[in-house]
Amino acid sequence: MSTVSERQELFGHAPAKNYLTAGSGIMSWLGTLDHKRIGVMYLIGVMCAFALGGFFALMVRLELLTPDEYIMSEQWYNRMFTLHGAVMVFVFIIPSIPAALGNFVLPMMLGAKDVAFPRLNLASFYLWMFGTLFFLISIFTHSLDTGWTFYTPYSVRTSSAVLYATMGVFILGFSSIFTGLNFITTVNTMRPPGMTWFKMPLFLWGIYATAIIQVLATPVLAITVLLLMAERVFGLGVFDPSLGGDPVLFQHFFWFYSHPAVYIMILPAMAIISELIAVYSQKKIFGYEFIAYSSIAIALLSFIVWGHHMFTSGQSDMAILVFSGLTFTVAVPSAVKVFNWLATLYKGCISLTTPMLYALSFIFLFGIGGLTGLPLGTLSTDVHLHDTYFVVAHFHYVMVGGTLIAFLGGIFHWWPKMFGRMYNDSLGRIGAIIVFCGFNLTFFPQFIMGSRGMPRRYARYDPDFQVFHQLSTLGVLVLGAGLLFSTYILIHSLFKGKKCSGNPWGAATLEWQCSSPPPHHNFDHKPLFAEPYDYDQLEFDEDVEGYVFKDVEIPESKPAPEPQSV
Amino acid sequence: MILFGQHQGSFNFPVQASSFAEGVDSLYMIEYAISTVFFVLIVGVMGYFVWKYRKRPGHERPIPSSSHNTWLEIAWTVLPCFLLVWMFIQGAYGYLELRNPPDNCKEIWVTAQQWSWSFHYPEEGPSADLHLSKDQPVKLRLASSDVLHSFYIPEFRQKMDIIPGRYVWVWFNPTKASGFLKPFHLRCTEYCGTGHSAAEMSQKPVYVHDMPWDEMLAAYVRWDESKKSSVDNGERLYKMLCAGCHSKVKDEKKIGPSFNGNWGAEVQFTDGSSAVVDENYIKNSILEPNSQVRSGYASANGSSQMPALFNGRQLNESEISYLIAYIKSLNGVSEEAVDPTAEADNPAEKTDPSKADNK
Repeated sequence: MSTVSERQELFGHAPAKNYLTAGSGIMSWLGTLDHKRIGVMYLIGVMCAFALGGFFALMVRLELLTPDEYIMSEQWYNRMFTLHGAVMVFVFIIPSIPAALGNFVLPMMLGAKDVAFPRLNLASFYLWMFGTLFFLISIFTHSLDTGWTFYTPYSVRTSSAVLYATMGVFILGFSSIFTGLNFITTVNTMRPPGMTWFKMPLFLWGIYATAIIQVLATPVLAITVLLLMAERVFGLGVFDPSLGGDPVLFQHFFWFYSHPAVYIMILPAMAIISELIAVYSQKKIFGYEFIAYSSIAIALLSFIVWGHHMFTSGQSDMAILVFSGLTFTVAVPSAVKVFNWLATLYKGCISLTTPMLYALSFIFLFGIGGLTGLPLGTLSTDVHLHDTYFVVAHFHYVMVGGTLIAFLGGIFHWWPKMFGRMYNDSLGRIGAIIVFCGFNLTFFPQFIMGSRGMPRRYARYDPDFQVFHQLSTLGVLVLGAGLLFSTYILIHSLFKGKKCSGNPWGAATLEWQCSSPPPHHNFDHKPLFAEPYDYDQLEFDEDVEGYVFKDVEIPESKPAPEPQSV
Repeated sequence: MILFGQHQGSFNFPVQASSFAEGVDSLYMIEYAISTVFFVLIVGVMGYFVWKYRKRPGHERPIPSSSHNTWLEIAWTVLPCFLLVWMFIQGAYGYLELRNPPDNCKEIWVTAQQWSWSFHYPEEGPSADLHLSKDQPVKLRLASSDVLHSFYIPEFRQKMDIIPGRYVWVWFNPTKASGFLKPFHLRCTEYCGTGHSAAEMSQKPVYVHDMPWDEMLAAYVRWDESKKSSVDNGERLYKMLCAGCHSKVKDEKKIGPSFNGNWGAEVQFTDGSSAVVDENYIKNSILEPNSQVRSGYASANGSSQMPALFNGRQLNESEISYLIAYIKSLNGVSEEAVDPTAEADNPAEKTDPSKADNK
């Protein structure tokens, strides 16, 4: 049994010098190779992108308060919904979990000092910045009005800033590819002794599956937008029928990337939920191998279902039947995950902390998002529902109710690790409940509108639908208030929050074995590798104000080899 | 389910007005019920576990905790597959019905353009509105003269994207008459630019008449240009080609300027010049829209938003003359003018094509 001072040293509050104080000045951030600082910069960046995308969403919803013109012309409405979709998808949601939380957490979960290629990691961040810059240019010069999907031939002919935006997409794509490459290499080569594939935390399985998709699918998007640019600039006939091209070809190319991209968004979210459910139930995750395999299954299946975005596009009936059949297979691994999470709760010891509330919200909302995928995969009902608000509601339940909620849960979970301060958990829970209610009020009415026949992307609409639109706009105000409130709680904690120990939640993955916030090189002591979900080995220690190993053998020594400067 | 009355359809769906509607709706409702059962189970079990195993003094979880149960996991992986296969098969059957027209279909040619629809009946010629007969299956040949559009009539549960450069077909059998005051609506569901949701594109009336096909054609579609006044011919062209972007309500700004209210006035162009609205101005605007772009109506790069071709062709001289006659009549400057105030004061007439077509 170790002494109090030893335990304090191993698991207690952070030493004075940590990754946040390791260097000062703006250049120590902009030139950093530290995965934690890059993760924090991504976090700030994607949250700004989210605020921008949220502003566009608010404009869209305000305009839809009335069936006729309320605050903007049709042209401006079309720009607003396009920018909302494009910014949210390409700039915010795809990099959100992998690049921000993944960067911060992944190397520490492996007990490593950094990712495999720290310089490439920083380069990915700058590519993200450049891509975003092109997007901003496209916003301020002849705003984009093609919809985030850039469907041809409209995108070839419109006078708006398609070139800047597609250049932005092209560059952001490379940011995504490099991040994926980095994570694959890191997971393959830098696992500590004893951490076999099936002893990795499930977060790593999720990020790994995501990285495979990023590396394999994103190049197709890059080629597609290059062809689109060539068509616009040189008049090369690829997609525009008046130049001899085929507009449906563009849809195939686009969705060959963008359907897997849906799983780039949801797989890391599921990965976070697997962690949260286990930690806050203090119970070994149920059916580890099924969850791990289901991540890989989803990643592979994601490549063969793109045609379900095109059930009314004029593909052959045979192709449509095949894609419908394949689409239903995706339901299986998704359902398996949900059942395993429920079984993990069984006989656990459940604390309803803020992150846990987000995890439970995820199961609720992703449940609706997933189940409403069934009538969309079913051909005869999809013909009616295709391109209506039913689809809008469905993918918002998956992307916002799924990915955003999991991202928030992850932020609240790892926040004490990132900044060494604990936020006000009671207020955090209130924030989570407001977000949950606002979200449902925003998007549930859209299912009903959709099945009643309200098409997407309409600035003006049949007055019959007004009541649903008004409920939805009311919901978005509640949702926005909840998000602002939650942001306030987090920022407040940076200044007034209580300092916290290395492992305040009682989690068993390796990142909780270093102090909060972590030192520059992550681990002063070699982490003690154990099962990632073995909570039986942990106990709460009053002296440390956090969880410690019950019977800890203090490693021989001294801090791990003196870190080399980076 | 809450019913909003017969013509309003159910809470979840618009009125069932085609032979497909009942099958589609009932499959949806079955899936809805299955989903609800699963959802209530998932959330119920979740809520129960969260309450029962909440962290509290005296509650100990068993050590070591259970970590898997292979048979249980295989069961909940395999069993939902049967439901999924059933859904796929039902959906596929319904879809094949949606795609395979019977032999007794009448044909209609539909053209979508930015931002209006027009119709052509092989037996009778062009028509500004879509008129159908109850219980007469129709097969529509869809064409686009510019970008992607999509043909969607919610009441019929049928939809098809329209791809420029090729024909696609769609069919349905209307089983419910619509009446004039409550027509069904044709809505474009593939984003097609600025006017995607303009009323002409998104709320195009679809009339289903309770009379045989030939009588319906004679009553609502037949149009003998030589026996109609220039103004009537112009109004018909207006409804087929112009109404998506140009209002006939005085000074109402849509994507383009209103046809009503500018005649004889001087208007400003984006290049700083100006002109008086007269016959030559109208003709030039139709044939060379980029030579004089009205201030306040330019697209993002400064060009005109007016298409150079309508339904893939240039308007001919007599068609332009009809339109000029109609515009003059709206402005009250023609001898054969209809009373423009009556037109503007009575908006109900705008949706009543019997006045224009049933003569």
